[in-house]
Amino acid sequence: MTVCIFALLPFGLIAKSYLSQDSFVSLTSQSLENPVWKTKTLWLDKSIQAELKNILSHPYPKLRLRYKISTNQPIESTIWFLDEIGKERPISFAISIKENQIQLIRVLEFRESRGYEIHMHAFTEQFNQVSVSGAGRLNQSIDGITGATMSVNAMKKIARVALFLHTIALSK
Amino acid sequence: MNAYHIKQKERRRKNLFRMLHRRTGFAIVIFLVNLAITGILLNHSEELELHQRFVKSEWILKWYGFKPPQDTICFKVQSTNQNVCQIGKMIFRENQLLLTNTSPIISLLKVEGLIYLATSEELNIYTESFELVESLNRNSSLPTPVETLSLYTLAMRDSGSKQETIAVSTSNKVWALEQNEFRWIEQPNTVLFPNQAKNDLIELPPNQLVGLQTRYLENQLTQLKFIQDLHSGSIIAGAGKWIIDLVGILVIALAITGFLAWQRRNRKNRLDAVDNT
Repeated sequence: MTVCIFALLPFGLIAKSYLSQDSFVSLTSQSLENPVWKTKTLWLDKSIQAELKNILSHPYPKLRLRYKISTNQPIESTIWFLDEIGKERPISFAISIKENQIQLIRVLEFRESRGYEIHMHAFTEQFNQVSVSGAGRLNQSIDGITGATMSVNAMKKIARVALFLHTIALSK
Repeated sequence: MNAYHIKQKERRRKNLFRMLHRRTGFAIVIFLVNLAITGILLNHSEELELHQRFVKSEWILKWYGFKPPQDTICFKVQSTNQNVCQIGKMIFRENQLLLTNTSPIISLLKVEGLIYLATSEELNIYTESFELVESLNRNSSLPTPVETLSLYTLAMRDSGSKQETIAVSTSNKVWALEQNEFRWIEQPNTVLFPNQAKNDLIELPPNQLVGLQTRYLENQLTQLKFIQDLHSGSIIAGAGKWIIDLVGILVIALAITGFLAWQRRNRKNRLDAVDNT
């Protein structure tokens, strides 16, 4: 049974919000020509969960995901809003993908006690145009941040998850 | 004082020195073992997932002074025997911890096999077996703070059709969830009444309340925090850190006195060897 592992966490820390989902959509839209976004649902069935478990080392703790897909573009883009635990608490990420490459990745909300540096543009820009290699790894190396190793790892994993989900969403 | 007395005095001084060194060593051995074991555990805390495991021991939790809140609010899940209860900032379904660090629970609705659990800041959707389907919050456009959660019939302007959905009310607005695009649509001039039946709110029998309070306590102290406190001495409020500091100083003193004793013996052995030749 998928248990909400986000619940099994210590508490007392206040979340820091950097960006809302709507703001992220607007940000992504700037690099596209008047995109029209449609919200779709992806149910995480057993085969998808198996692959997510392979990437994250645990199943994704939700049964369905909402994503946005651009419907009026020659090449479809998708936007994903995903959570992953750095050390103790979930970090909310937003990722936009086009042509199997990350266009933009941002931290929406950070709830950990350390590692907040991953929200900085200098760090997130490293993910631009990154895709997955044949071995399922990111095809570019990402420089870490001292003291934020677990948050960096969470971001790298979630980037792989989004790239995987993008291919699944387009194949449906 | 003759040579014999001087020698005896020197021997007594040496014996006292050795005895102090030995006894101090014995006295701090427990602390050293504690430091060593907790140090090894902290070094591997991530692999051991100590930050995700909790201390369950009643007396340790008592020692820390944790007390369960007396106020609880419990809902019976419609057409099941399951209860969902909030105690403090935690929400439990029977023995399963659903949410931590949560705002006050507002309502619990069961609609078409899905359970909607609303707190003032979140809306969590579960299956009947309480697998999390989806979680909505302010960041995913949920209007907050939620004051009411209710069933709602949404009239679609463009198609003229009607959709059975859920709606939430905030301080002075009502928002209905449009299920296809999954967006919240403001419903002007609408008042939302909670359709939470009064008998869904239940009072736990004393034995279940004690069980709930126990679950609450068992999720307060991570093993990582406990081991960190053992390592630093913070587990003993006030004096603990000073005791560990004292042990640290004694270890340094032992290293110095041990080295001096070794050097003295070494010198004596060398002199004896010269005498023998």
